[in-house]
Amino acid sequence: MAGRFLLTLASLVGLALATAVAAQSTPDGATLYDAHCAVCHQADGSGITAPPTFPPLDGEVGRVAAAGEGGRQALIDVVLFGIKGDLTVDGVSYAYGQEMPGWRKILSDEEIASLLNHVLASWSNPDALAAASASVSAKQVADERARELSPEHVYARWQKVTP
Amino acid sequence: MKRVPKGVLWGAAVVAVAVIVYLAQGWFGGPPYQYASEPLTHLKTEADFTLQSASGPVSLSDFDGDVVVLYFGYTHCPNICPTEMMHLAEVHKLLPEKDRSRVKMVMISVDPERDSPATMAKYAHAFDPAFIGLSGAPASIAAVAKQFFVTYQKTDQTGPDQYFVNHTSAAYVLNTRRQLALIYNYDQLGSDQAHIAQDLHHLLLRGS
Repeated sequence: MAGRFLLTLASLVGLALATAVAAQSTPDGATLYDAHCAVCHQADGSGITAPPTFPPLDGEVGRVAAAGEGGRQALIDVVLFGIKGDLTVDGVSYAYGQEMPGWRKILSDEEIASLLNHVLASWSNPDALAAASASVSAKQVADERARELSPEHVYARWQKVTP
Repeated sequence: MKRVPKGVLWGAAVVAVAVIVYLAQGWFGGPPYQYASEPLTHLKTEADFTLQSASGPVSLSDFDGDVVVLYFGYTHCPNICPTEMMHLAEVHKLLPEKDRSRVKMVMISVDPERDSPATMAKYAHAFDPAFIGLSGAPASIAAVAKQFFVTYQKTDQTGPDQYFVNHTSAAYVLNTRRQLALIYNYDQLGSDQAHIAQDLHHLLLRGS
């Protein structure tokens, strides 16, 4: 009786541990977005537009990713290194000395890929992407990471790829 | 003349050498520790305040024995705050692991009308789960800001809940006795992180 109880207990503990390990090894994009991005860009990706504070990710990220390889690299660069400069999104100018910090020392390549893939699959971004294939891999993030760009440099790259 | 036993002479010699070595360390032991920012050694007043966290009131005295880094900002801040919070997170990561729980990074809202304690907690945790976000009644926030000569003012208001807040962007470091010890400006926090992490470690070691 006691033996069976201990066995059940042991398997429950094992299951809990396995779940915890699995949760740790595969970063969930939605969870990462909620933890690190939503405080500014909002849970629905709409940003804060009045007064123009944080640009929306809904639609814009899809459009930039649809611009091709350069667009996807620019998205990765923004998350890794941040961006500094005036942006215009959906006709709204974000020109209050906007500066987003880079997450390269906080988030891993896998986490950034997972995060971006979540954003690319959310809100109206899939529509903006249309048929363009736009998933981001950890390898692509690692390649961009090696560039060690400044937020000003990311801004210059971003200006070239935004539609 | 009475002979002094050899053992006593040897003992005295050893003690004399030890004293000389000890003093020489003081005299020639290199310059004192250089902080990244001019230490405010003349400030002996103990700061204190009580504000609201997501899980209830928090007083500065709750952190006695720890080093506290205070930053005043707001969650609708489009430029300085996110970057400065990231720099504080980077400094925190550079600390020796055993120091991390003893260096409390605290962000205080200068926009208490829009930033609830829960909003502040979520914002602070976005940068580091160990960071602490505080808000409170506008009058309480004003009193805390005054203690540190922090100023803030609404600007570019386009609606009741639509505005920016101009505010002092420095980070204030309190030693383990709640005395203001160091102030870092925005640029230093961006460029001097390894040195700042050393400073915080040194403040913990020194214990004051």
